[in-house]
Amino acid sequence: MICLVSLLAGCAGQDPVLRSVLPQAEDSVVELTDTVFFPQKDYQCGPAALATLVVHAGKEITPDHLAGKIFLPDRRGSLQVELVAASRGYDLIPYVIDPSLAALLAELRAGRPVLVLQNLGLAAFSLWHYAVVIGYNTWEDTMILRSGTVRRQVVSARRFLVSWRQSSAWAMVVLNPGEMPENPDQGRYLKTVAALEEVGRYDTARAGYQAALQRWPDVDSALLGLGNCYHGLGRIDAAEKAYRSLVEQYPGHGIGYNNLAHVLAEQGQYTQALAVLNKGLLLAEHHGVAGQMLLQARGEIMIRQVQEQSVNDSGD
Amino acid sequence: MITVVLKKLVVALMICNILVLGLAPVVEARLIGTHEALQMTQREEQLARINRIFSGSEVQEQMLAFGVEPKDVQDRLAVLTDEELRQLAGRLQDMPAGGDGVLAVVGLVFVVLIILELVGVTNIFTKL
Repeated sequence: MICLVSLLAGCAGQDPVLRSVLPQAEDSVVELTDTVFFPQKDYQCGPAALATLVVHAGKEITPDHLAGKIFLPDRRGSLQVELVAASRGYDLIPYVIDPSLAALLAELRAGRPVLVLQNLGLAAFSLWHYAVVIGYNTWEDTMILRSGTVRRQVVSARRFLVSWRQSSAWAMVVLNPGEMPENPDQGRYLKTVAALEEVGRYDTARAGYQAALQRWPDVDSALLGLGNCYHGLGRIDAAEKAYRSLVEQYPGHGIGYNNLAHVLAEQGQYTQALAVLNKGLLLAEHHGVAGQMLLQARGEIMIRQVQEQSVNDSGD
Repeated sequence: MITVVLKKLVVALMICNILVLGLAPVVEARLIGTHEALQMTQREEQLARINRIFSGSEVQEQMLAFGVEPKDVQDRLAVLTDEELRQLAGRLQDMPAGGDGVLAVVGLVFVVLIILELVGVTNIFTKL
């Protein structure tokens, strides 16, 4: 017992954690007190934690709405992948932040609660738990959480770090379409938005790509994505415009020519579509599937053109 | 007359097309999604499509096995990307599932107390 007490005392004497990652000028205390609290039901910290973020982002839901979407009854828990995926269903952008305390604190300062995965057990005997960090206090070197059945849990930053690092410091925020995280990682942000496009959340993804283009004007995949989303939304004119600026800015962009030709063909403009493909075959870098796709597209569009021509002829 | 010439021209062009394509695997002409464009090679793309089918049904089976209501399964699959389906397939058992850490901790503390008791460090349960 004496050993245990001396161990605890040893911890208390160490250097503060938060001050070491926080610039002096920044706020010493942050607490997002208006963050809602959903006390978790049996094993359902995942639905409770995610609902906390989703409500904070302005949607009206309760953990019960999420249970069917992310809870795995026989594992008595929820998987990270499904937390991310379920957020898409609410037209929110689920962004996994950098695995660092500095990134977590930056999100809190920007007013966003952060969902974290902690291991409350031991490395060998894991007890995975989701909680929502809503603030920190550098004077006391503590983190403030909505966790489990505790509305305002205050834990030492050091203890929090030990539990959080075991999940490789996994943490996510949810963003409204158009909103950017603090110090976003370009590749990760674009992949996050592309996933929304892939599952057919075109309007949300569109806003995500537009925000990306504002921040990084020189990203070709954001322009491609913008065109794809407009196409998914049935706004063919806007899609055509986006693809046109894509191939103008990046004359070697094979997929740009492919997609532009397809939207032109969809509008019956076969001659123009074929011209675009020919230009693409001339200029595009033919690596991978892109070159082959351009040839294939040219073949198919020619056939369609002839077929329509025959229909018109027989109608005369 | 012009249309006949046009048709012949197109047929000729088509033959060129096929010659150029040779026996390359047939790729469906379509719009290419951004996610796909970000990481595409032909082989990867074809494998990904095959995997989508397999991992989709595998994840579906596993979700049902882990007690997910059949009515919820399709909605859950619908918001997962191909890449996520591949990650999940066969690994639902091993991935960390954040659950009720708090109550479990109470259980853990109890176990520790019993061990301490058994090795004689504490005397909570046994009265001297």
